Amino acid sequence: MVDRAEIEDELIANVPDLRAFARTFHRDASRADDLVQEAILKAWSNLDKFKAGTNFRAWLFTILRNTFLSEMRKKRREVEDVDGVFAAQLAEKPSQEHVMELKDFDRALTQLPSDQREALILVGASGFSYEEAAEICGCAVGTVKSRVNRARKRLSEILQMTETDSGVDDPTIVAALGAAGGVSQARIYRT
Amino acid sequence: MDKSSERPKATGDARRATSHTKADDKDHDLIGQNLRRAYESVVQEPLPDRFKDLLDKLKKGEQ
Repeated sequence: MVDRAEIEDELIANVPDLRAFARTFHRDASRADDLVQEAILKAWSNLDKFKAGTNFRAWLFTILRNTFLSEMRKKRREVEDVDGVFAAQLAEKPSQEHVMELKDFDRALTQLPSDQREALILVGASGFSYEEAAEICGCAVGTVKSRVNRARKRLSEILQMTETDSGVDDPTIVAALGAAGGVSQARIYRT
Repeated sequence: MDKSSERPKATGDARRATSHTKADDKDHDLIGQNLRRAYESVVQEPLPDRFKDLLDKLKKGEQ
C-alpha cells in the first residue's frame, strides 16, 4: 500500500524535472508550465491508481506526455518559433576545448523531429533507461535507441561536430548499440 | 526485475535517476553535457509561484 503523504511529496519533488521535460513539447516557458500544471492536477487526482513498487517517475512523465498529446489532438498547435528548447541563457565560458555556445546547442535541439528530441531528453537528460523511456513513449526499446542515435547524429551535423565529439561513430558505442540486453544499453555515452 | 525497482522511491528528493552507472559514462560526451546543462538550467530555476500555490492547495486538500 502506497503511503499517500509520501507519494504526494514525491510528486512535488519531481515538479522541477517535469518543468524541464515539458520543454520538449513547448519551448515557450509559460506554455510548458501550463502543461505541467495540467499534468500535476491529473497525477494528483489519480495518485490512488498508482501501483506501489512500480516506477513513479516514469508514471509522472507518462502523464505529462499523454496530457500533451491530448492537448495536441484538441488544438493542433503550430510549431512555436522560439530560440531554443530550454531557452538556455547561460553565459558561462565553455570549459571544454571544443567551444560550443549553449544557446547554439539549445537552438539545434529545436531542429530535431519531436520524437527524436523527446527520446534524447528522456535518456540523456531526465536519466531514464531505454526501457523506461520506451515505457513512457509507448514504443519499442529499439525505437527509442534508434531515435536517440538519430538525434545525436543530426545534432552533430547541425553543430558540425567531429565524430568523436558526438559519440555516435565511436566503435564502442556502435557495438553497445548492437548488443542485446537491458540496462547496459544506457551506457551509450561511453567514449 | 529491472533497474527501476532498485531506485530509491519517495525520498522527497527530486534527484533524477542518473545513477552512478549511467552518469559517469555520459560525462565525456559533448552532446550529453550540453543537453544536461540546458535541462538542469530549468530544473534549478526557483519554482514559479503558480506551482507553489497549486501544490500548497493540493496538499491542503482543496481543489
